[in-house]
Amino acid sequence: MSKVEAAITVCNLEKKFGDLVVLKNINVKIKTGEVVCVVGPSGSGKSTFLRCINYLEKPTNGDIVIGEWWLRGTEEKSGSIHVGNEQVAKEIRKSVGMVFQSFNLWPHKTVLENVIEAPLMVKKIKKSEITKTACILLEKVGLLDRKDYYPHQLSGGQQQRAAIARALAMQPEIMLFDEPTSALDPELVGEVLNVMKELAGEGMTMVIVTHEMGFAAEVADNVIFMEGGYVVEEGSPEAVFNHPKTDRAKQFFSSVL
Amino acid sequence: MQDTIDLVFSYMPDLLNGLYYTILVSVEAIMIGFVVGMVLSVLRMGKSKIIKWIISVYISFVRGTPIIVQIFLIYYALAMIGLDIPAFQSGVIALSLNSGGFIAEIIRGGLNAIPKGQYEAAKALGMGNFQTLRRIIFPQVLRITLPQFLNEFIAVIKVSPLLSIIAVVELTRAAQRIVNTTYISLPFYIAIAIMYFILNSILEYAAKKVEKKTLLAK
Amino acid sequence: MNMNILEISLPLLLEGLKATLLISAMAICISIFVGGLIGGLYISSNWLLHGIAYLYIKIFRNTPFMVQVYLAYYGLPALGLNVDAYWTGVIVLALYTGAYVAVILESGLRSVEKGQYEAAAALNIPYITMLRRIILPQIMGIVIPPLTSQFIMTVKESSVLSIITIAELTMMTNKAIGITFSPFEVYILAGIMYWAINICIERIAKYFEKKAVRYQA
Repeated sequence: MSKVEAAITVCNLEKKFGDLVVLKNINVKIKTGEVVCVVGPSGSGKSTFLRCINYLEKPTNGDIVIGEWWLRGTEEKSGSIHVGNEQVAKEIRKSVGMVFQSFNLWPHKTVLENVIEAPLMVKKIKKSEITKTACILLEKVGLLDRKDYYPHQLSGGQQQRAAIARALAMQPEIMLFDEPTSALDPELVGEVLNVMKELAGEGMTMVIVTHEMGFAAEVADNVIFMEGGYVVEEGSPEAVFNHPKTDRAKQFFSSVL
Repeated sequence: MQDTIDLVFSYMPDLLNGLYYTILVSVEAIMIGFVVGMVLSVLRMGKSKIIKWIISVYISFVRGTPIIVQIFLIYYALAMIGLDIPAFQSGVIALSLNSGGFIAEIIRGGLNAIPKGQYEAAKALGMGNFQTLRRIIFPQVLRITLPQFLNEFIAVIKVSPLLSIIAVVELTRAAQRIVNTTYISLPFYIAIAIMYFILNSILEYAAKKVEKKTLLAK
Repeated sequence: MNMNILEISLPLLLEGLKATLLISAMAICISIFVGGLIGGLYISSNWLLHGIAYLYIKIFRNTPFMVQVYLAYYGLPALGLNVDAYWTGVIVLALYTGAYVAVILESGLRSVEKGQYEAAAALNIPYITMLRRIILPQIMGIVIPPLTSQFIMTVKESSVLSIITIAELTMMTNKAIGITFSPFEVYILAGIMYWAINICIERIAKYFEKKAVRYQA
């Protein structure tokens, strides 16, 4: 039933900010239905790597292939490649959803309005139809009774769950999570992780940058440990957490686990 | 004293007519100024350094030189190009271009208050630049900056008397005309001072109410 | 730019510039005293004093400056005061600016914690002296930026005085245009001069701000 093929292929990815090289020669394959957790110390480039996938960051070198779409690395000055990439990115974003650390809900719209905005504007779905779908999604994340509330009236955990519903409304095949629980009070983290666990159980392809090791151990099929812009180790949670091969990985996990 | 009051009231129709034109000129100027300000703001978001530089010089000039100079400038400029535009329209243009500069700065302040994440969420969901600006960014900006717009409107009304110099028959010019025919000056200037005072006080009150409402909504 | 235009207009404009500088400087200095006085009255708990200040501020802020100029120009002679146009202009500009200065100072004064006022009262320091020597030095850093913007606006407002035939920069600009028939060039020249005044005001303000920030913790 599920084709074991690469949903996302990343080759020789490099990202520079001026002279600072933040991502160095990243090579990763993520299969359909896989849940991949990216972990590592601050400044390791995890978020930058994630944001390259939906082109919120523009790679300076290397390629990213998602389905039939191909993002090429741009040496800073090649304007024409960049323009082409923007078109490709638009297509990619139709099937790749993203959840941000700071939720980024739009404050002047209710929860329901936040969820239906993109399908309405981008996919041009009829309002009555999308409202039905949105309510189903909100029910799924446990926020149906709050659909007419404004973001500032919700707790952090509720806002993030709303943000997840908003991303799911576009029916993505891949979901990216950029430290989804890092900005939450500890007691609110669980409700968000539960939604993510459920999503994983349903077979969604997920790439999650996180510090929640327990969650990663439970849910991830694959763990990528990054440090200093490199992928230092990769493997199953069992392998990477409990039997790290490199010194840096050993150091990191001994202090966080 | 009673005679003076009767005299002023006998000319009230002319004064009220002038007041009407004061309000008309100000409303037209602020509306066009709003469009100018929005256009400048959107242009400033683009990539062209030249355009951004031109716009900042324009705004700097409009905010840094006296309005009376700008009014003259437009009046003469239009005459020089050969466009036979009546003083009223010329005044509206001058005031709009002036307001437009101030409004562009107001909008810029509003845009700065919007966190980058809002743009990113829209982008990640596949929304285009224009859609994002139209549905997400500018509705918030306008809500945040509404009190400042109203202040700008009040400022335009306070500056409208300067149009009397290019013979636009707003309230001050109306008074001047009466003064020239009756040779009585003080009572009429007091009368229009009172009229401006009432007008501005009402607007100030309305602006405070609106400010309270927009603060509550957040 | 046609050298002829420059030759004719530059001297005229410089004369006007001098007048504008002089008028603005005097008006600004007077306005600081006026504003300080009115601001002090405004925060007073005595309802009469507060009321007087409130009315003063409201009247000068809610009527157009141009109308105030006309009122003074025609009104002062009617009161028996025969002031010539030049000083009429300076006085009105000073009083007008003073109302705005009062508001700026008032919010600055309010920002000082009540204890400072109370300590001064307990030591029997007279009200005005307290404002001058204790409160004012503390609020310099807060009030200088808005005062700077206000004074820049005062210089711009001075151009309105050209309507009562005071020979300041704007009047001279129009005169120069009348002779040379080149509005654009002359206005740009005038614009540059006004802009230069702005820069000077900003520089002076920065100097005072630096001196003032010494007091801040």
